[in-house]
Amino acid sequence: MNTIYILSGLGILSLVGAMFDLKKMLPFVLLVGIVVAMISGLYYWGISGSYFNQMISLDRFSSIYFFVLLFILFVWFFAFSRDTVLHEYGFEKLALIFFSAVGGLFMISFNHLVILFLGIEILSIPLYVLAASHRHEAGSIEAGVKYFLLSSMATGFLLFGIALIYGATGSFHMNEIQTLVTSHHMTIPSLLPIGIILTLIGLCFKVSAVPFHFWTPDVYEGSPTEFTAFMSTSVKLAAFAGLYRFLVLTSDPTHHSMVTILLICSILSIIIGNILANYPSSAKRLLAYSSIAQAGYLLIPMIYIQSDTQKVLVYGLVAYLLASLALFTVIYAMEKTAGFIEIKSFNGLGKSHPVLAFCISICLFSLAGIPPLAGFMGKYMIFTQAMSAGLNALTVVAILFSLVGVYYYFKIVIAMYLQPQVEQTFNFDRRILISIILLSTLLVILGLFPDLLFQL
Amino acid sequence: MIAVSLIIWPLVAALLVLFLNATGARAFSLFAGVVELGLVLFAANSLVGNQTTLLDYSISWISYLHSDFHVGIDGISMILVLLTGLLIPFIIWSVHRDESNVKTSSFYALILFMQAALIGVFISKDGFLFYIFWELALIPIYFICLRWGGQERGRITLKFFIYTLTGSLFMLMAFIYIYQHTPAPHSFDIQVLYQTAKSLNSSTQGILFLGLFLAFAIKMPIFPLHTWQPETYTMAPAQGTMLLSGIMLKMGTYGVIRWLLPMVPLGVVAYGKLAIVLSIAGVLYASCIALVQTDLKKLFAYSSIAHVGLISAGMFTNTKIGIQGALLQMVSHGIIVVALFYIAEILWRRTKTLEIADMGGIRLQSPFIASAFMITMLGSIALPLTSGFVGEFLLINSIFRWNAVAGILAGFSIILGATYMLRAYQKTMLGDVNTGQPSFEPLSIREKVILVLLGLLILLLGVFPSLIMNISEQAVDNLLNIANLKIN
Repeated sequence: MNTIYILSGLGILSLVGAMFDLKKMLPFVLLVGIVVAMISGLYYWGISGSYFNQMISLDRFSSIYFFVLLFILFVWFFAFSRDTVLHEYGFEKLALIFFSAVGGLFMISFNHLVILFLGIEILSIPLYVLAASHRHEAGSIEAGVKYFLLSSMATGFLLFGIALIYGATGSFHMNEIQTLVTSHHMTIPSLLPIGIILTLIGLCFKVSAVPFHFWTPDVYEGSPTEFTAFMSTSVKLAAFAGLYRFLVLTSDPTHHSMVTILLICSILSIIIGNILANYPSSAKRLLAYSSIAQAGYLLIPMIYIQSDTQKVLVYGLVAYLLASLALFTVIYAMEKTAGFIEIKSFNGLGKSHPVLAFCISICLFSLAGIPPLAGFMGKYMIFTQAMSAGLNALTVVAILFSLVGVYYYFKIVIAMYLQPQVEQTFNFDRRILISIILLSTLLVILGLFPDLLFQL
Repeated sequence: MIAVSLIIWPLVAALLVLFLNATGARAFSLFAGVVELGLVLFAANSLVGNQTTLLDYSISWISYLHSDFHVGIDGISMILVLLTGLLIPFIIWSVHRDESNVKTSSFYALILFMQAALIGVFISKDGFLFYIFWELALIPIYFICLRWGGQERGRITLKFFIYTLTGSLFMLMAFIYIYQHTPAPHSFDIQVLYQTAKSLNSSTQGILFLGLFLAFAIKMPIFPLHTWQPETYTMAPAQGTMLLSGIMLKMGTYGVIRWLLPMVPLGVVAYGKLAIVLSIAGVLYASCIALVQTDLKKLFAYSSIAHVGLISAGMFTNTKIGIQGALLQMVSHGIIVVALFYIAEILWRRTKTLEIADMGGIRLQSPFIASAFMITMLGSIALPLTSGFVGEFLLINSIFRWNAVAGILAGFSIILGATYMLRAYQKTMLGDVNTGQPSFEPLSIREKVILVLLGLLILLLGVFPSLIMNISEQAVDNLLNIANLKIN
């Protein structure tokens, strides 16, 4: 709970900072604030409880998700806040990031469908603004508008679904819905599954699973990169945490329709994401398609929820988030010199910046699922889950397409080590370097010792 | 403990090397390689002295997967570890000093990293750990080839990487399948996996066989999965080729002995024939192609496919002679192929070509390299008193007992091998000096010492093959017991 309060407070603090124009001090203060939130999260680790008339409920896993979200925020502020605050409306942008993160916290810990809806909206509305925040660039505005319009439609589905669930069960409270579903599942009106499916569609949009993915490439590419970095990590985290919670609380063995939908979404995301990622020359677009494919992998354990699905999901998510955040950070730093970053912009980086290139390789290897990095362990656990649920065919498809992934991720590795250097030399400031080294080290450590995350 | 230190020391050394300049890195990594060799010899000594507690180490690793960090060295592992420990110093030493502006410290770090991963593969006693090391070994060689390779290295290395990764994913799936049938709480321990796979029915074991076989066959490589190999060997830098052919392909053969034959004996009964037939077909196919090669490195690459095919055929007969012969031949092939590729490197440095037609009469200019090439070549074509002979003899013997026709066909490989190797020797070393070539710079002391030592090893193992066979005999017996108990 403290986390929610602290982050909201920090958001307001950034706005107050705007009044006094504290450009120098504010980023540091905010970082300290995030650290305080992390420490308080550790202090109250795993304490469960319900708040706001049981509309929010916390447990061990929400502590983990909160902590991961705070960590992402920490790295984000460490890497970007100094630059962002100098932009036009810089303070407001920082505030929006905090508000968006608070929305994420709501989604992670909701116990009431209205909170889920509020969380999604609080998460998304700042992002529409941030996506369009380079308001002199057509691409950025396009991204904002596209994200806004398509999101609104998804929100419509979500609201419709929530309304139908309410109609069928007479409650917004997840616990009550769950009791109803498990105790009288023979007499439940067919409105309920329809409602669940519509809500699911709304959530699948947020995790950018195929066929609800069309916004992802354009929005990821058009938005200013620092915000893409935030979007591709925190939104994914919150959306997957929310989706999992929703599925657990409404799951009912008799409703196969949900299983079918998740199965189709995940398999299509894996196939289409991995295939389309081969074509773009823009690095951001490649990562956007790769994030679609990764969403597909992360959907696999949700199809049949088992006792340890939550752990697998957390691990898989963290592995993806760390790599994705690091790569977008690199692209951000390169864009400062080169403007638009293509795969060939990475040419020769292996010679000119050996340490950085090595870290980028680690992130790409992890995304491609090469042992012993965290990405591999995540995928491995996901596949074992799938196989123990009897989804052997899905596993084979997923494995084959993860080989396609090797091809496009390695395009960047090959560009870095093989191609001659490009003319412009990139300058990476220390903060960017430190964050990337930190993230890639974590990928290695988590890959070698997955127990660190599992025993939380 | 000593088993763990065999993995940790090269890793530590690899990290330290990164802080040195190229010359210092070369010296230090050579030192690290020699220290590692010392550790390996110490381990071998304790194995012979039956102090096996030193050689086994286990600690809980990933509790969620019930996978332990369990390493242990028995006779079979010991042979491969010995080979790795022995060859790595040569490979590091073979880097010429004047390459220091190109081959920076990261090159040596990658080699040492590779050594750690390879030894990890050879001593893992846990299925998941084995898989991790198996893939880990791919990463350094990928970068060695990508950064220091020849033409078209981007395409070729990617092909190599995806090829081997595909194979190993099938192996992983086979492991997961067996793992899920282990009694709860599941375990990846090799003995548990053996016991579990035993209870599966014949058709399941057949499918598991194919999954595992695919991974090992690609690594070795066995016809028709060899298409990545000649290109990769030709393109890789000399040390990369030595690593690939000398040690890395033994991962495949070792995998068969340790993880395939005792794991799914009924699968071997069902599909072992297929494996032998493919292997022998590969032997003949690769030998025939080697006959018409004009490029020295390519010729050695195809000859390597032929030799490995023979090793593989011998192993799949699932007999003691076959496996013992395979182990001996792995060591022998490792030493010989490193020597061959080193000779190719020496020739290339001086003549700037690997076209056989562009060389000639080198014996007149440098009798030393002609003699060294002679000894290595004789080892390669399995002349008695060289290390190649005993191994090939045992292998062909085992194949012959399995099926006489197959044995005869496999025997052709020796004749074909003699043909293409002698032809290559004749065209490069004998005859008149090729007028188009610059004068042949004499060999440095370093080059001579490396060649002499490798040559001595070839002769030593030819005269005393029991050095190797005694180490592994007990372990091979154990392994066959496990395999045969299951069939009956």
